[in-house]
Amino acid sequence: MSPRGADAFERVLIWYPKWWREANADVLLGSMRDHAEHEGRSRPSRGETFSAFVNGVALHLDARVALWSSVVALVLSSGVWMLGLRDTYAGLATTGIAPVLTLVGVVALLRSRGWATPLRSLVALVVLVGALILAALAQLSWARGFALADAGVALSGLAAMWAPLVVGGWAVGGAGLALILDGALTHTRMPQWGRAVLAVVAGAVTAPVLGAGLISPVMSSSVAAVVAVVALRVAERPLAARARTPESSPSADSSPRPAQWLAWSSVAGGLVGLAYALTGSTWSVGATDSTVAMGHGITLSLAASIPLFAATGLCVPKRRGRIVVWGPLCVAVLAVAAVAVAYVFAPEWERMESWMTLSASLGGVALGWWVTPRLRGPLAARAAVGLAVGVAYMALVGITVIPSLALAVSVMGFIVAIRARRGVRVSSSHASNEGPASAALTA
Amino acid sequence: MLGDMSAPLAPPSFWILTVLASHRRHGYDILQAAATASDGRVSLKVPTLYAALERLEADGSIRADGEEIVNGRARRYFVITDEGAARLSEEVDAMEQAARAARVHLTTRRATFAFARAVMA
Repeated sequence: MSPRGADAFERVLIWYPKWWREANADVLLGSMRDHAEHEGRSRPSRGETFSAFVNGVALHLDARVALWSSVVALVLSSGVWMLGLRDTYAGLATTGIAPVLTLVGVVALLRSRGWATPLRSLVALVVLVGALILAALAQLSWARGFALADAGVALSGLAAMWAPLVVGGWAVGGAGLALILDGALTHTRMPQWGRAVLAVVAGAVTAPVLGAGLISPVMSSSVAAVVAVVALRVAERPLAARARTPESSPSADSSPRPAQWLAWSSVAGGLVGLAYALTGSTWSVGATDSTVAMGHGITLSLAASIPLFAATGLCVPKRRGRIVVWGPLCVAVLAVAAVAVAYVFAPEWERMESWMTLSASLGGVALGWWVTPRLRGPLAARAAVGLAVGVAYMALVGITVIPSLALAVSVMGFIVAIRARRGVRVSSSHASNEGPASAALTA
Repeated sequence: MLGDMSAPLAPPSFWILTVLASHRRHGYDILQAAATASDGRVSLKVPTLYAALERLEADGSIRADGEEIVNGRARRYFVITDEGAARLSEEVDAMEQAARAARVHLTTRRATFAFARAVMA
């Protein structure tokens, strides 16, 4: 490789990542100089300089950037929430910086997967960041307008700009999303006009949802978590494919029948809990009113979910080891138990709060523990993603997820029971296909 | 990266594969050959050419085939792979089918006009 100087050709390389320059700079420069010589130029043309800028900058948007920008977004959102920060800077971090980082992660992931060309990625990123800024300003305008209206003062300045900001954010966000979608659809044989119409309609419909959603910490953290997990899988796929050793059969623990019984017991317990929650106040001495009955019903349903966790543990493959299945499931059971205890005190939030916080923390640990060993890639990256996902759960959704789980115990138990039943059928058909020795072993 | 081999080829990728179908070529040679073969309709900038070559290499349509230094300038050669040739062939078949369909419609139109003119006369 030639030494780098202030040559006009070499200056265009500054936009490219270092790893790319090390691998390709000499051949790119050689071709650019050949082309310039042929056209009688002594420096790159404007078109070449612009093309180098676009392609070089877009190369920075790779799976690694997607991974780390989404991890930082997760940590930022959940960290601010956990520390209870409510000042302007905290608001800027959760509704400004974190959504932009999430967006960078999404666009980087799309570009690295080849779903958006370099130019389209950069333009879409700029346009969508603009849309997020307009959405954040619209939110600020609404808050100020509300305060002014409360005080009986006429709206002025930013407070009076709500409608144009919303319409502007919608239009700009719709255009950015349409740009991304149209790029993804170029991989189909759909005609250009069809792509354009579909992209514009989809962009217009989804822009307000995403615009309002991404500036909320819960939504942006959820998107960031998905991006982090996908980016880690994408970044390390070739390495993982090479390193993968033949896996043993992903068989579950022993026979699926115990799992079935456990799941059916959760279905029954969940139904009893639900019935108590809805009707307990009319017949139970312990339920003094419908709120207390609802609280006790939730406690019963959550207690009924414990066999369901055991059933899940029996059904899940153990190829990564038993500890990464039973460990997080046991912590999850403790998280559920903490909420069950909390609802004994319902509706007294002061007495419930510490149990709910404990549950959210345990749930975050369980989720992080479950996710980390199932990701691919270097341990540090996996641990960072698992930790960020766990912390985000703990800080943002932990208090609301598990109580709502109480209402779904019966449905989830039913699903697990049916799946376990299929497992029974599959294992008996395997046994009959593999001969008497195998059948005897299964039995 | 682009893993969908059935996806339609963008014009730059089409012309890159076309000029590599017959010869092993280096970057600037591909640029010139593509411009000539497309009658000047495809005029790639060098950085865009290398971005396209990287995409095609990543999806297995082409592969690098050695480097050499000529007059102090590095040249990397590329060749089309069997997958790339099959993909180009599919694209050419689709284009020929589209061209045949267009030709049938044009012939019908000419015949209709000729008949109308004959009737009017």
